[in-house]
Amino acid sequence: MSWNDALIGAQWFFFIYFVAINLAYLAQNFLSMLAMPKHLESRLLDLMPRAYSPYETPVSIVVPAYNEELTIAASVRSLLQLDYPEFEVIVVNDGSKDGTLQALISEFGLLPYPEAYWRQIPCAAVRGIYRSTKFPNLRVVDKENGGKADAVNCGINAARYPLFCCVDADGILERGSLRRVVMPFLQDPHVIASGGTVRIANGCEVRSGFLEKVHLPSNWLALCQIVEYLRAFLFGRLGWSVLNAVLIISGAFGVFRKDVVVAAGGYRHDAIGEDMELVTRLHLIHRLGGKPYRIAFVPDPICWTEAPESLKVLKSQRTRWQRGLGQSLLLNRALLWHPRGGAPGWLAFPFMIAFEWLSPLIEVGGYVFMTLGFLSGIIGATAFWTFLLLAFSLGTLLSMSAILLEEVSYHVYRERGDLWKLAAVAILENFGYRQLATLWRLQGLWQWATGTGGGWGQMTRIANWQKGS
Amino acid sequence: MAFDTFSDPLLEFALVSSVGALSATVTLALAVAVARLRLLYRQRIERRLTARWNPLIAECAERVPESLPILDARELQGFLVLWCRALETLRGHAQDNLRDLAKRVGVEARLQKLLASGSLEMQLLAVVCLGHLHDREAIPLLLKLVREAPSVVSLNAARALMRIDPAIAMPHLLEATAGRPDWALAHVVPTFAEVDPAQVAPVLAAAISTELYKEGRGTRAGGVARLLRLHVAAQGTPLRPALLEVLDTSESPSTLVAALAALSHPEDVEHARKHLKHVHWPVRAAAAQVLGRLGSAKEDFAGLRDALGDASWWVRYRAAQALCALPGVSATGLHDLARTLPDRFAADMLKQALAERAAR
Repeated sequence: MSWNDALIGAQWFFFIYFVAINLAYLAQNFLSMLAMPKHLESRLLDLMPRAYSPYETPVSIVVPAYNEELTIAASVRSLLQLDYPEFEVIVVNDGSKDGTLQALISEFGLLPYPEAYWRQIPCAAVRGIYRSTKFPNLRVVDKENGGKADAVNCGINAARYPLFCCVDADGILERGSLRRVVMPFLQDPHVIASGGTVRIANGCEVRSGFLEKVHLPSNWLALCQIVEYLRAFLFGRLGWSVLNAVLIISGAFGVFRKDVVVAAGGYRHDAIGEDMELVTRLHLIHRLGGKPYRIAFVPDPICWTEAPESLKVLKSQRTRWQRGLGQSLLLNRALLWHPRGGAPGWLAFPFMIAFEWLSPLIEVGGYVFMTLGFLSGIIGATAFWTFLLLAFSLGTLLSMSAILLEEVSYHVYRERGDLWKLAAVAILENFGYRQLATLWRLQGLWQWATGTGGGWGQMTRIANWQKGS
Repeated sequence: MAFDTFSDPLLEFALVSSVGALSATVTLALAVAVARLRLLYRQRIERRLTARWNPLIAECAERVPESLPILDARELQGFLVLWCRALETLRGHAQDNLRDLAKRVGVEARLQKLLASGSLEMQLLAVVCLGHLHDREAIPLLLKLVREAPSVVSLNAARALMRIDPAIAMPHLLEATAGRPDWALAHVVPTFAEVDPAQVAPVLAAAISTELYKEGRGTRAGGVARLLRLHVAAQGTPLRPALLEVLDTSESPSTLVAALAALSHPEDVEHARKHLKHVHWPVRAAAAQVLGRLGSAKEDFAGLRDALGDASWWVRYRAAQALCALPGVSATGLHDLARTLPDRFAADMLKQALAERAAR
């Protein structure tokens, strides 16, 4: 094979990969467009007064907390105000080094409580359990430090109800969040897990832990992440949910059937992306065991989270996500092309490998190949610029379709000029932001392959809304 | 170099794809703008509608005026939502007035159009309105929807039927409840809210017996347990024989749990005692709960104390709660028992239940 043949082969490889990845995303987009009306059709009932019955499935809300002294009381107060008939809140203090436990004790009048703790899933030692004298449905478990997954496992052990909801201590919810995300469990007895759309809270007004008003942030990085989250949730996960192949339910807000998670052994302590790992494992267990099940996704915005506004923190987050993705896929590789793997094993898993896990390698490879080829004169100017134009136009198309899906469904961003801003971001993110994110993901892939870059990294939270609440 | 000129088919394809994607992007951007304009238009209509009809709906709760404005076709959906919300919050004479208002502005004829519109949202709205209007002519259509429509519409059709004529609706609703796992019980129970519980009991008892027969023949499973859980909507003695029949004949743990939870007559406590040693732990836990509600210290203390040593955490928990709830059993006595129990797990559970009782 001559040099020329190799170059032509490489061009074809990058081009076909590029077309395939975009076609795959467009197919997801199409599936989401089909699924969205079904989710919206019964929204009319939300406008009517709602009657509760004794058979709304009660939920245990598990809140892992590590060094959350400043925000934990406000977070728990907002959880206690959720619009749901029966729920309990279990805060797990994961060996915090600051005054998290003390803040909870003084705010909620906690007293030690002689609970017969049932250790169904292994977790670090429990130091003590407290019960609130002000809120009968609030308990706090104080335990040795073991990480987020360990803390959630400890909370699941303490949970009394058939469903548990894992919530990030810094997540901002809507009052009806829990009701919406539990709905799939009521409508289908085979549902074992349900997640919803996470949105970016930067720039929004928050009062008493609840979202009051939506504004777009002024920070450029946060704006780019808004469009990115729209793509990921509105047509990424919604598209997969049509095929019962959602492999990720965000750890920020997800509801699971407790008996199923306990039987699966709970969250893995050593997983970097423990939320994705659990959901992929649940698919694996149910598919290979031939058990009927469904993992549901609710496209409603149910949880708002603060996005990183600095390059350093964003880089740390993205490299971690990439490591977590690789680990989750490797740990559950038995699902890949398994005869009983169904849509998760035959579509979602290969998609994740080809277009999420390995994509930074191939995308960066493509950019480098084209640039070096152009600079050395091997690739002509027309071919080079056409390649860039194609990358830009398809990237913008996908972002714009996500904005359209958002506008015809929830139209969350209602202020004058918001749509223009989002449309501008959909265009401009192609010049730098996407490439940067791809580079960070490549770094995450490298760290995963070499076993370096451990730890959770530092998420510096600004939480401007806390000042007013 | 194969990638170098426009004559290259690959390059041509790439260029055409780019132009196609850019054109699609521009089209989508226009669609976003149109969607926003439509939203703004709808919001303007809604504001105007609320300002126009809300005061009138409030006035109609007292008295319907002689002359009424014409209901514009564009206002129909918004008006119906306002009207339904008002009806669901009002009672008695005010509801009759609002029905009169809807009839006089011509809602009935327009509901048929909504039902035929093909939009599930409109169909849903029409179904809810038919129920509020007490339109008996809609009964056959609603029955069809109960049987055939997707869960959200069929459930609302059932609710509408219950509003129009509970006697006709109940057998159909119970039959569907038994056979449709997509009907969440949490949504079924509120449909009985406006029906006298004494009226529900005999129909529910008959439905349970029929379903028990079907389960015995193996034609359907799980229906009895679902129906039994509707006991919260029923009241009166007719339900009791059906419950006892289930407890005597069923072997399904979920059915037994549901039947035990429905027990309310003190004389039936013997059934709970019998199931305290059942092979399945959920049945034992349910039996312990019943003993806490209906049992006596003299008859049940020993059985519940033994259940504190059960292998299942839930049975131990329910037994401990039941012991704390038994009439005539003092907290001091239970604290003494906790101190002397040789089984640490049993003692811990009793301490937890005592702490729970003290916190209440």
